[in-house]
Amino acid sequence: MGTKILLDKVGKCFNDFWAVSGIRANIWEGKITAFIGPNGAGKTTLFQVLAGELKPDTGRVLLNATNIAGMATWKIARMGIGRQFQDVRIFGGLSVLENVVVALLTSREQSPVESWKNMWRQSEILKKHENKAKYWIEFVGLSDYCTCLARELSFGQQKLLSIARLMAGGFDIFLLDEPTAGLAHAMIVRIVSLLNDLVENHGVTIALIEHNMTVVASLAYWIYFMNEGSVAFHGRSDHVLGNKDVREMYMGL
Amino acid sequence: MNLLLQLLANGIVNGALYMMLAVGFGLVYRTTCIFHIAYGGIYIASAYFFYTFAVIAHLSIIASVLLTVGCSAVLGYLMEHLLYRPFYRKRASSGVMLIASLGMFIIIENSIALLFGNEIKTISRGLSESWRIGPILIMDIQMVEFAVGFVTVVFFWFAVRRLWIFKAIWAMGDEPDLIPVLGLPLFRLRDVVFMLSSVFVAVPACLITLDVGVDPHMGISYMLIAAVSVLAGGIGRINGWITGAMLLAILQSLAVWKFSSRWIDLVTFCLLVFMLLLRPHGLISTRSRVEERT
Amino acid sequence: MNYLFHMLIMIGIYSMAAYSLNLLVGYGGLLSLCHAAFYGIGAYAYALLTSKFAIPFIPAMLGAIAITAALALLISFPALRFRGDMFVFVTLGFQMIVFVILYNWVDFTGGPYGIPGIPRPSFFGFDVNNTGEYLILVAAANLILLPLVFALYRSPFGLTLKALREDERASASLGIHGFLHFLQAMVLSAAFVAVPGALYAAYVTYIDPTSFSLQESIFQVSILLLGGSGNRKGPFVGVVIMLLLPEALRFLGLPDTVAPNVREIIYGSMLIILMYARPQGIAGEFKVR
Repeated sequence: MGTKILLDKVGKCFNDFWAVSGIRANIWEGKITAFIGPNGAGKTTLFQVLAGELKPDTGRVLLNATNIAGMATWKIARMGIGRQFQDVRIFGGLSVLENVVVALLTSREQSPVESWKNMWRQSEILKKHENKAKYWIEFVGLSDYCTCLARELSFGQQKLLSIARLMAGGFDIFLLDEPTAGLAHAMIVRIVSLLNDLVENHGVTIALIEHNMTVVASLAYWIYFMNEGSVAFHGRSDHVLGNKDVREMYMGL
Repeated sequence: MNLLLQLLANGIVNGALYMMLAVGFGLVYRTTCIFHIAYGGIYIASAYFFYTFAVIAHLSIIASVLLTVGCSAVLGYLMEHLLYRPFYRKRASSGVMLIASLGMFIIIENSIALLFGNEIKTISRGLSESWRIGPILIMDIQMVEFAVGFVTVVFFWFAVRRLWIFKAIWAMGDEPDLIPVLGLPLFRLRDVVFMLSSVFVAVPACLITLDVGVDPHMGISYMLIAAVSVLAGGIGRINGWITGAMLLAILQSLAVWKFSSRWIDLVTFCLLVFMLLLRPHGLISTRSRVEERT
Repeated sequence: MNYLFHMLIMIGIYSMAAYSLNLLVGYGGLLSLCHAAFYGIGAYAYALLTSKFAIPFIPAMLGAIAITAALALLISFPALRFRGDMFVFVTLGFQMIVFVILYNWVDFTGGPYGIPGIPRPSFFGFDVNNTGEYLILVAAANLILLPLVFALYRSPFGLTLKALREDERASASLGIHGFLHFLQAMVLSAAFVAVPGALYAAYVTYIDPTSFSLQESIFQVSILLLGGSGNRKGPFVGVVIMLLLPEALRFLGLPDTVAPNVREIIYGSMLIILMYARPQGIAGEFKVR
């Protein structure tokens, strides 16, 4: 079973404070790898390094043998790494349909020159994109909301929209930052089944940060337990969740 | 060489005034996140208050300065209450406040032009004294400008370190919502900020009016000088504002020496662009987390 | 009749200016205070090419567009390092730099005396002499330019800009290269505004730097703030109101010495009221943030 992303001794410091140090981790291909740990453990910082928002001070991030550490976010995204933010960040002023269509556009189509070349075929091209977008909107169950502005959706619906966006974007790795935080139980169940479907039937690789242990238990293949900026413990899901020290330190059991 | 020294001396005198202007602007920007374009309006209002007191009412210079400072503080207070606070209550974004501030500046500039006309107003000082320091000639007004500017800024620098109120307003700049939670009077603090900022622009306004005069369209130049000093020097720290201001004044003098005074405004902006390209956080600054910046 | 033609010509010129700025402000979400500088560079480039170098209308127009676009490219690199307030301030800086250069580089731009004697356009044997003919020219320019701009608005490029406007960080996470697209928007909006700039120069036949100052940039941004931006309706609404307003004031009989100041006070008040009550303008989609 292969490694999609390898984190090799990654470290990041802010004015003498090491938010993460000496991180060694594998994001397993076609599986769900979870990062758990108390607040301030450095999980989000790690994801920001993975996504290119932060340049690590030490170590490498290897995506299929290429070191992507310090590359620009948009470049890393084009290499197949997609991200869902903790505060979701959908395009509030655009409709649900437009949100997903944006993710579909190739970099070539986004150029103004290309837009002028296709000036007379614009409606036709738009229709094609919208049909593709509608497929993913239906996949996450938001078909009724296609023409609504994204900011009118509930928080949970916005999270579904961001997953539709990631699917439309054709990313093969998803970085999900607390995908079920702030959601009602029914919505959590929906998202968990969606994520399992994505991994089993669409070959997506997922790395996720979660605080909800039930969700972690039903999703994760491999778990990294982080504390104070480094990996304290890691292994197969049941192994980590059953470990006495982890349970004491983190779950207070 | 003598010309260079003279120009540098003039530059240092200007620098002392620019430091005050920078402090006034930076104070507002750092503690309320408002890009206070209307600051330029308070500059011209102060200058014209001074002109009214000194020339039209024939009051003494000292009395005029004191009255002007008082009136400017009131103007700053009114601006916060009538303009910025309603926007703050609406949780308006900084872009919205910037445009509102721009609108206010336009109103003040043109109201003054309507009242006083567009020509330069000067104040005759009779015979002025001057001193020779080596090859340099310093006018009496320049001595006053330098002394006042320097002393005020030094006083302020120490005050910031000693008085708790400055810690409070700095915190207000970071997290205004927390201020009431801590039991501190948010709105009173804002009042103090704007009144203090107006004092810092009123004094140089009086001195510059006394020195070279005033016209209704000067406001934007001084606001830009203040803003460039703060932005190039570093938004977060007073040391940055002061350094930026002095640096700008000296560069302007060098520009006059090398080219001519027509290109001074160009220098101001080239300095800004240059600094922003090399050190986007200013000369003196700290790094911040991604979330804090977005 | 001439007066009506004159008003329509100015509406036609400002319409092109507003729609070009709309690409950067309404779709890109970047408030720019240097549009008048690009408008002015277009005007000066055209004026110099036609009056000093006697280049005919269409090549001079293309030359003006190319020169303005090149300068916009140059200005974009430093300016687009920033967003929000800082971007506005940097564009304000550039506006002032351009003004200072136009005003002081007397040998090249004529300084405060400007450039007189700009020839009226003449191409393919047609001489545009009177106001009526000029109106046809301006209308034709609109008919050519606006469809190109509108095509961008509803294209994938336009949608990408809107996404960047809404959330640049999220856009980057989708593989959208913010700097590149903002650069394209800035250069294109400058290239487009060179056309009305050139047409203005040829219309008034004498230009000086005061028509292209910060005040003018504020006027052009106000058109979008008042009428609205981010769509096709807003800019036109803004142009009509902002151009008719001074005429309405004239009917009130304000003396000429006082009218400009009163007008500016009205603009200032308008900006404050708009920002407070209706940041998306009358008919716009984009709210200033």
